[in-house]
Amino acid sequence: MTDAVLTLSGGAQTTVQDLGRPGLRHLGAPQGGASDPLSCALANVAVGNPVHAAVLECTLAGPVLQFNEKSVFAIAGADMNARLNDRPISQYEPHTVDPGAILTLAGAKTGMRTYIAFRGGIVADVFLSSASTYLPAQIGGLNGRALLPGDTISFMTPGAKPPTTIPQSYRPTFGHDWVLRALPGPEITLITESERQTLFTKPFTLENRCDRMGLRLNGSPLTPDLTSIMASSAVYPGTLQCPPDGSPFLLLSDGQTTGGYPRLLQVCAVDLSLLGQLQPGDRIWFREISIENALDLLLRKTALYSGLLEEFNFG
Amino acid sequence: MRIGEIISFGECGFLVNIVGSQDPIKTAAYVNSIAAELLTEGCWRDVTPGLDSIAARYDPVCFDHQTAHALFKKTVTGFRFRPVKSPPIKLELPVLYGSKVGPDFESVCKLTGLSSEELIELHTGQSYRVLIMGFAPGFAYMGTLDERLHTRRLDTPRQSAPAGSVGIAGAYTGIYSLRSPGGWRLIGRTPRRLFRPKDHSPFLFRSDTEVRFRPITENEYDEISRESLP
Repeated sequence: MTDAVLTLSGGAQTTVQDLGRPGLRHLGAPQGGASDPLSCALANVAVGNPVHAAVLECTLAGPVLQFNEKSVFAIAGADMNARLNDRPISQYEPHTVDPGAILTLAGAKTGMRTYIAFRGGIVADVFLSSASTYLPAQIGGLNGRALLPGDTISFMTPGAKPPTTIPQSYRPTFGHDWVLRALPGPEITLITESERQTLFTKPFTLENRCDRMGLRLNGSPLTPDLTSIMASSAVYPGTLQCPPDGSPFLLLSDGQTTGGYPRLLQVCAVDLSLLGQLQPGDRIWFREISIENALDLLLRKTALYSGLLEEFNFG
Repeated sequence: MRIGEIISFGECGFLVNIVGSQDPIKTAAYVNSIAAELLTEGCWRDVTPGLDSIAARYDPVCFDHQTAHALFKKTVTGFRFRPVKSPPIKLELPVLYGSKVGPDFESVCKLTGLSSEELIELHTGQSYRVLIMGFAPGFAYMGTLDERLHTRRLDTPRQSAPAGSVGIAGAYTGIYSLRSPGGWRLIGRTPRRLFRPKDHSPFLFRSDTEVRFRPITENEYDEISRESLP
C-alpha cells in the first residue's frame, strides 16, 4: 500500500518513532525512539500492532492528515483535541476511516507528545534495526526529518492481532505538576546537604529550552563543587546533570550517552515515560526513594501492563 | 591502576571508576577491554565506557539486583588486562581554527594566556589517541592535551554546536560529530564528516585511532567541505 495518508500540515514537530535502538551506547548512539514509550506502545496495541511498530510522535501542536485509503488508527499520549472530519474523537481506541477523511490535531493543553498509530505500522527508513527518526544525524523515519506538508505515509501489512480499546486504568494522565521518583546520582555528594534537601523537596520549572535531547530546569540554584574536573562518564535518559551555572538539565530519549557535568539524580525507570510529556512551564518535584522501592515499583508496573504490552520494557 | 568501588546508578545499573592511574591512554585501554568483555556476556542491556569509568545496565525482569551486582563485580574485578600491541590507525584531520568557527577560541586564549598562534601550535603539535567513543554517534574523546591547554567546561552548556566543531575540555579534545548541545570550549571546525550513517563503515574513528590535526585556511575548508558532501 502506498500513500495511504497525505500530510496537509506537519504540526510543530512530528516525527516517525518506534521504541528505538537499545544497546548501542558503547558506540555513542542513544536509544532514541518515542520520548513517551508507554503511550507509543499503547497506541500500537489499540490498532493491533506490536508495541515497537513505527508511529507518529507529535510534539506540542499536532499535524493535519488526510486519509487516501480505508485505514485504522488510534491516538495516545497528550490530548491534542483530535478531530476526525471536524468531530471530536476519543483517544486509546481504534478508529476506522474511509478515504477522504481528515484528522486534525491541535495544541496540547497538558502533556507534550501525542502518538498516532496506524494499523500495520508506518513504512519508514530503518537504521540499525529501528525506524526512529534521529534528527541530529538525519536518520530513520521519513528521510531523517520531521513531517512536512505534502509528505505521504504508507503502512505495512497488519498482523493477525485485532485492534482493541485500551482499558481506562491503563491510560496515563498528565497535568502541569509532576512528581518524579528518583535515585541520587553518582555526584550527589558534590552539592551540600541543604542543596540536596532543596533538590528533593522544592519544585523546578521547565524552561522553553527543551527537545528530544534534554530539558532545562529552573529552580533554587545548585552549586556543585567543581574544584576537580570530572572525566566524562555514562549518562542516560532521566539523568539530571548540573553545570556550574546551577541550572540543571534532564536528558531525554535522544540525549548524549556520556557527559561531564555532575550527575545529581536519576529518574526512576517507573516514571521515565513521563519525561516525554513535560511541557515548558510545568513544575517538577523530585522525590527520593530507595533502590529497593524503585525496583519493586518497576516490577509491579511491568506486571500490571504485562497482559497488555508484550515485549515492552519500562527501563 | 585498580578498580574503584562499584556503585548503583539507577535501579538497574552499576558504575565503577578506574582509579590510581596517571595515564589516560592506559586507563581508556583498560576501560575499553572491560567494556568489550561485558558486551560479549550478553546479559547487559547496555554498556557505556567512560574516560575512567564503566557503566552497565541489566534487565530487572531477568536478574535481581544482587545477582546482577555479583556478575558485574566478577567481570570488572576478575578481568586480566592484556594491552594489545597492534599499531593504531593513523588519521590526519584538517581543522580551521579561530573565532569565526570556534566561538570560544578567544576565551581559551584569555584563560590559558596563550596567543592565537601558540594555541594552534599546541593543539596541532602532537598526535592524540582516540580514548573512547561516546557522547553521540561518531564522537571521539581524544587525549591527552598539553597541560597549557587544560580548561574547564563552559558554565552554561551551549544549546547547539555545529557538526565538525573541535572542542577542548580538561585534558581532552574532541569533535562534535553531529549538531548537538555541549559544554566543551570550541576552538575550530573540521570540514570532514565523522558520522556517515549511510556508509558501509559509518564511523571515521574507532577507539585507538591516532589523530593529528592540520591547520587549514578558509579556502581549504570550503574546498574540502564541497568534496565531503553526501
